[in-house]
Amino acid sequence: MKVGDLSPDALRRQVGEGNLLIDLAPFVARLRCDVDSAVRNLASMYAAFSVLPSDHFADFHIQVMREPGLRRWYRPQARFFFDGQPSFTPLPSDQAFAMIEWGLNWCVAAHAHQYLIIHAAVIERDGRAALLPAPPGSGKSTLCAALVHRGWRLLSDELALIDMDTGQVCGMARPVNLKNESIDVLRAFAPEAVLTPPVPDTLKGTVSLMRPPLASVQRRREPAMPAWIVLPRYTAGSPPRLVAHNRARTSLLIAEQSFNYDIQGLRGFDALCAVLDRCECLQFTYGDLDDAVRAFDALAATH
Amino acid sequence: MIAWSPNEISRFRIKDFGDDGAVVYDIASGDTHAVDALAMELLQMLMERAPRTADSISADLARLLEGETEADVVDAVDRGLAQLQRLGLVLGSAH
Repeated sequence: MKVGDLSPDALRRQVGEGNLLIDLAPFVARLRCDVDSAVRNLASMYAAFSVLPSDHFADFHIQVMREPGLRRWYRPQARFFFDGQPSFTPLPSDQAFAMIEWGLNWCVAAHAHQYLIIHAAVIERDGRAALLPAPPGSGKSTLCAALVHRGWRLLSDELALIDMDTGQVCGMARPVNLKNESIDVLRAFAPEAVLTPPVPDTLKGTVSLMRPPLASVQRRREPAMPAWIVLPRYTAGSPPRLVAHNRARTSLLIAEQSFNYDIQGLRGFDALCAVLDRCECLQFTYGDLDDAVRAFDALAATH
Repeated sequence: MIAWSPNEISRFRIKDFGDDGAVVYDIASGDTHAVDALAMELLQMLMERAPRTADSISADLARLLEGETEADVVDAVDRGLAQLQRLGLVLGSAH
């Protein structure tokens, strides 16, 4: 049974009762939500994800619920709960689906310490993964969203989960978080992409989530071996430039972009070095997504 | 004159990237640092023979880098030793 197999009423009832368990692989999330717009977006964005029986083990128990009181009618808000405890301040209820996404990211980053977790997009082709670590504003998610519509498989647009025993990287193939100008850029580049209605005035500006490609969701259990670390930098009007990046400085940058490197100790350092040993380190400056696709195609063609 | 020696090398895990320098993990503090390639070369020289003064290291390094004079490399050696000292990888003592 997939999320998309449930009728709107059945989904609303199941998630309203807190009995919707989604198989994100490698995690299972139990969701409860009473915000209609979020449930509609859930149906659209997670349509291809499996629903598990309600008595199945879940790693994360998440609720996004409307706040009670008079505000409910004139300025409705919703709050995120983790394991039944309120975890963040309430936000306007039209941000409820984004809260589920941000909250899931937080759950993984704060708890899944069996992995070395890097703030990075991850895409794969022919068994080789490219990690795109970057601070906000670098165009990481836009580039990732574009490439997964041109032959690359999506593992994640936010969290690279490095298995410290095998060196492989896992992802959940969850929706891609687009912000501000990148929403229209992606719509123009990939008209077939399915996006949630943009929500303005969030902490990150206007946000919209992009449905992950079906093939990526179907292969979400399949890890990949990192082959490239590419530091993207969007510069309007810039020609594409893919140049080697210093490996020692790349190592530090990856450590800085990790959510849990500090708590992994020596094992984390060794895992980081093992990833660097396997990867070509590059900096990619670009100003046009078609140029970026060509540059990544050329990268994938190298042996 | 200061003579330099490696310091508690077992406290560190070093990943050498050759011309790209290295990263060093300090097991005691949990900190990770980048070390440039020249500083790594100096550390290697000190691990082979210590204690040594900056002048002695500069003379050897100039021989290794054909075409460079001792005067050319002395500033770089001072900077490299300062970097290693800051990270706790070398210790200086009065000579």
